[in-house]
Amino acid sequence: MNNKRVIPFLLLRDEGLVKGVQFQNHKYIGDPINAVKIFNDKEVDELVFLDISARKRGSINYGLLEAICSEAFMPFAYGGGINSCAQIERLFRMGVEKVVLNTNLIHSPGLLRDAVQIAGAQSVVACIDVRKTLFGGYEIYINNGREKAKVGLSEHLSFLVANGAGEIVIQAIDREGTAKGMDAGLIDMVAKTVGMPVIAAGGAGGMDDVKKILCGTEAAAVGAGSMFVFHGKHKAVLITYPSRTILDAAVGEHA
Amino acid sequence: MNTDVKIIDYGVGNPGSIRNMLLKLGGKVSAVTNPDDLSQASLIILPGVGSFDNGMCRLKERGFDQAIREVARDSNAMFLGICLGMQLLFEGSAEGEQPGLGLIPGRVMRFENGNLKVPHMGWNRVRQVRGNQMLDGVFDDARFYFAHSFHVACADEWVLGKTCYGHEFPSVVMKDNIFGAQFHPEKSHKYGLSLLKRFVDIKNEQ
Repeated sequence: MNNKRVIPFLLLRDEGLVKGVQFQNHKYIGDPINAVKIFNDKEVDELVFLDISARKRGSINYGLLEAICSEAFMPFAYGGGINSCAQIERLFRMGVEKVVLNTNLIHSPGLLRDAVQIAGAQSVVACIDVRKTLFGGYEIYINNGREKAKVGLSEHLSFLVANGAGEIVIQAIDREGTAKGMDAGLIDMVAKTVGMPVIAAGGAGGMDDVKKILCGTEAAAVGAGSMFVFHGKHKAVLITYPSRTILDAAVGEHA
Repeated sequence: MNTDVKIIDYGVGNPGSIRNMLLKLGGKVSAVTNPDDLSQASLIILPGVGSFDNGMCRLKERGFDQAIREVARDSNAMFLGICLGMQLLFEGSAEGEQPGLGLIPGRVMRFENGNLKVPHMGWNRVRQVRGNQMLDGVFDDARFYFAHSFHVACADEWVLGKTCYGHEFPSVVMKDNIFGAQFHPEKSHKYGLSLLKRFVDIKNEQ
C-alpha cells in the first residue's frame, strides 16, 4: 500500500491565504475556506496550514481555524504561534489533527515534551527551516526565517528525537517558493538520521520533483505550496491537486 | 426513527470533526460531557487522540468509564471507539500504566519495526477478515487515514479488519455491540463517510 503522502502547505496571513518566495514577498492568494473545499473535493491526503502572522499578532486565529475544521474531512495540521499546551488542547478539540511547532521548539524547549505527553507523538510535528551555508552545511532559522538559531541542525534533530516529535518537516528556505526542485541531499540526510517520518518541503515544482524525493530518498512525504496554488509561468492563482491515479503513478505502490 | 448519535467529549480527541461528518449524514448528533446523557443514545462514539493514560484518566475523571461499561453491557446502543478510543476498549497498553476499559480482551502494543517509521501515519487499506452484515463491502477499494504509534494485539475472534504496516494488525474490531476503528473515519473523506453511514443507517432501520 502506498503510504507516501503529498501535502499542500498553505500559508495564512490574518484571514487570507498567501504565498511568497524564500519566505519573502508574500502575496494574497485567496480565501482559505474556499481552498479547503477544493482540496476536499480533490481528496487531498492531508493539509497543513501555517499562520505566518500569528507570532506577530500574538494570538491564534481560532475563529478561522474553526471554520476550516468544519469543512476539512482530511487530516489537517496547524502551525503558527503555538507556545502553550492550553492552545494545543484547544486546537485538538476543534478538530485540528496535528500541531506544528517551529520557533518555540527552540525558544521553549520544554514545550515539545509537554505537547507529546498530552497529545501523543502522532499529533506533534516539528518543523525545521534551514538555509544552506557557503561551506555546504545548513543553518536553522526561526521566526519566519528572520532569526538564526543558536543550535545546530544535528543537535536539534537529536533533541527532537529525544523528546518524541511524531514527524519532522525539513524545509529548505532557499528553495521555498521557487518551484525549482527540492534539496534531495538535505532531505535524505535528515530522513536517514531520525526514526520518525520526515516531510520534505521547499522547491517542489511538479510531480517529477515529488517523485525524485519520494522514490529517491527516505522521506515519507512531500509538502508543497506553489505547486498547488499557482499555474504557469506568470503564476496565475489556481488551486489544484493531482488525481489519485497520477499520484500513484508518480510515486509507485509500495508494499 | 432518527439515529441519536452521542459523541463523548472527555477533553481528549476531536469531537468536532466527527460531529461535522455525522451532521453531513443527517440525524441528531450531540457532544456529551455528562455520562448520564449517554442513556438515550442509539450510537455512541468515543473519539480519542493522544496518550493512553491521559485518555483513561480523563474518562475516569468525568465518570465515563463506568457509564461506558454499563452501556456496553446493558443497552441496545452501538458503540464505536475511534483511534485511541478503540485502544481504550482493551485491557491495557504498553504506552502507559492505566488499565483500559477491558471491554474486549487484548492489549495495545507499540510498533516495533526496525525499518519502519513510527508513528504509522498516512493512508492505508483495511482487509476485511470476517463477515459482518452491517459493514460488508465498506472496506473494499477504500483507504483510511491512520495516525498511531501503538496498535492492538488480540485474538482473531474480535477482529473484523486487518491493516498491514510492517505486519498485519487489527484495524477494525468488534465484540457484540462494541466496535473499534484504529483509523480516523472523520479524516478519511468519502471512505470515512461511507463507514459512518453504515452505523447511522443500521440504527435508522431498527
